[in-house]
Parts: sequence; C-alpha cells; structure tokens
Amino acid sequence: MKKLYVNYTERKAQLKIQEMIFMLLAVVFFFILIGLFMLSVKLKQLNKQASQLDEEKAASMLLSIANLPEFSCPDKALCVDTDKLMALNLSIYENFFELKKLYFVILYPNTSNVLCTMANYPNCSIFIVVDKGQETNDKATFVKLCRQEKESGYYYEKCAFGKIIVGV
Amino acid sequence: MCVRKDNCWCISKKAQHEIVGFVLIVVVVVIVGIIFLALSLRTRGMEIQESIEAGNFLDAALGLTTDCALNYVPNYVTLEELIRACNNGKTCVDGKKACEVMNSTFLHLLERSWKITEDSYVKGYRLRIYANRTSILEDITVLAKGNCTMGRSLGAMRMIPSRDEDIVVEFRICYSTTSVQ
Repeated sequence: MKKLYVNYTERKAQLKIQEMIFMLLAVVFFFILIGLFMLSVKLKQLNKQASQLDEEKAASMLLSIANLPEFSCPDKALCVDTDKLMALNLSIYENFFELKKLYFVILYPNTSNVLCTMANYPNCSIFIVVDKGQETNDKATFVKLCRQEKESGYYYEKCAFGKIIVGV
Repeated sequence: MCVRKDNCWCISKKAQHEIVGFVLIVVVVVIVGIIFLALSLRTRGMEIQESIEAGNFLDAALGLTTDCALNYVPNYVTLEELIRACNNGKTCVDGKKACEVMNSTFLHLLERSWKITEDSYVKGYRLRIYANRTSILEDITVLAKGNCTMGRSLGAMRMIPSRDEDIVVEFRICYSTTSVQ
C-alpha cells in the first residue's frame, strides 16, 4: 500500500513537470512566431525608409551642386544663374564633377526643348554642363533658373522654374 | 491507477481543471499578443511625411517670376507675391485678376512637373493654399489631380507672411503603395 502511494506521488510529480514543460514550450514557440512576424514587418518598413533616405540624400546632393558659386545666383539659395552658365567655358567642367551627366532644364515658362547656345539664348530651355554620352542613373530636383532681363529700359531679375538633372 | 474509488474521481477532476487552466493561459496570452500586434501595425490613415523634393518644388515655384505686374511694367511679381496679391484681391496691370494668374501658373507648373498615368509611381497630388485668419482657415485655392486616398504621401508646407495673417501653401504628392519611387 505504501509502495503504491509512493509510486503514485512520483508519477504525479512527473506529470506536473511534464505539463509545465509543455506549457513553457508552447508559450516560447508562440512568442518566437510572433517575433518572426514582427521582424519581417519591421524589415519591410526599414527597406521603405532606406529607399526614401536614398532619395533625400540624392536631392541634397543635387542642391549642393546647384548652390556652387559657378552656378548659383548671388545671395540666393536654390537658384541657378543662367547668365553665368552661358558665360562659363563649360567644357572645363567635363571632368570637374565626378558625374556622367549634368543638365539644367527650364520647365516653365519656356518649354521649347531647345539646347541653349550663344546664338539662341535666352529663347531656349536646356543647358548641358556635362554629358559623357554614357548610360546613367538620373536624379533630379527642382530649382529656379534666373537671369537679368531688360524691358522698357529697366533691368530686372526674371526667374524660371526648372530642374537640375544629374546622371551618375 | 486508483488507490481508492473517491481518489480516482478527485484525480480525474483535478486533471481536467489543470488542462482548462492551461488552455485559459494560452488563450489570454494569444489575445494579448494579437491586441499588441494590431496596435503596433496600425497605420493612421494617410501618413504625410516631409519631403525634400516637395519642398524644393514649392521653393522653386514660389520664386518664379510671373506675367503679372501689379504697379507698373516691368515690375513683375514672383508667385509668392502673387499669392499675397490674390489674398488681397488685387488685379494685374493688364487687367487680369491676381488669383486667375496664380491658378493658371500653378496648374502649368503642376502639369509639367508631375506626370500622372496609370503606370506612374506618382498617383496624385494636392496643392492647397489657405489663409490663417485668427485660427480660422480660409481656402484661397485648392488644386488636385489623381488619387490621394490610398498609399503613401510626401509633402511640404511653406508659410507666406501677409499683413494680419499667414498664408500657408501646402503641397502633397501621393505615391502608389508598391514603392515610394
């Protein structure tokens, strides 16, 4: 009788331990599944953020090029002086920037899609600073393109809306 | 194995209680986990994030020299000044209303800057200009195109100080859900 009672107690303890182990395993397994799911969702969000940060970085780089003294309007940010672009000997800038392409394009009001030369300026809309004729991954952002204009005997600053396009 | 009859009854009932308790714990943990997941994954409608591209668009647009001269030719105003003039109900020297020139200029800028097609990554845009008059917001103009109800938005805002109020230019670009670009 006593031996039976001892066996029963041992058996009960073993069952309790087994029960606890199974419960712990189930809970841990459940949390691992949850964790994996959360991780995949966070990774997806990270990818989106990384891609957006890349775009922001590219836009900042474009702005820093537009703000170079060779191109920028005096005392103005985000402004390209097209008179300077025409006056500069742009061929010396071919290898100055580590870029395959650098264009300034007027989108409004002039949309002639004509390449600017000394003969047709300012009735044109595309300024090519660098074009190495290679395939490029283009990035662009919006800028003002300003010049001096004379009308009725007055000089004033006339700004167009355009883009800076960079190919790397 | 039963030692006594009533002990068997106790053991079997007790085992059932233990199982029920275990199942209850698992159910509670699952419910808490699901609630936590739902809260952390919830998107608050259309999230609008600040964008350099949208900001550059507004900065370049506001600095554009328009065809409208307010006092004399060739004192042509920038788009920023034209917005202020529109808010004050002014007219250009050529007889056109400032608001008319402002709207047509913005329409042209938006058309030429953002191409919206079925395959484009930009699905829509919304430009809203409003005056903040002692906490009452009064729309000056709203220009929108495409679908801005779903997907992700990037935007920018610029303030234009005016006499007794601030004018706010708010621009939002809506992208498809598959990619930002």
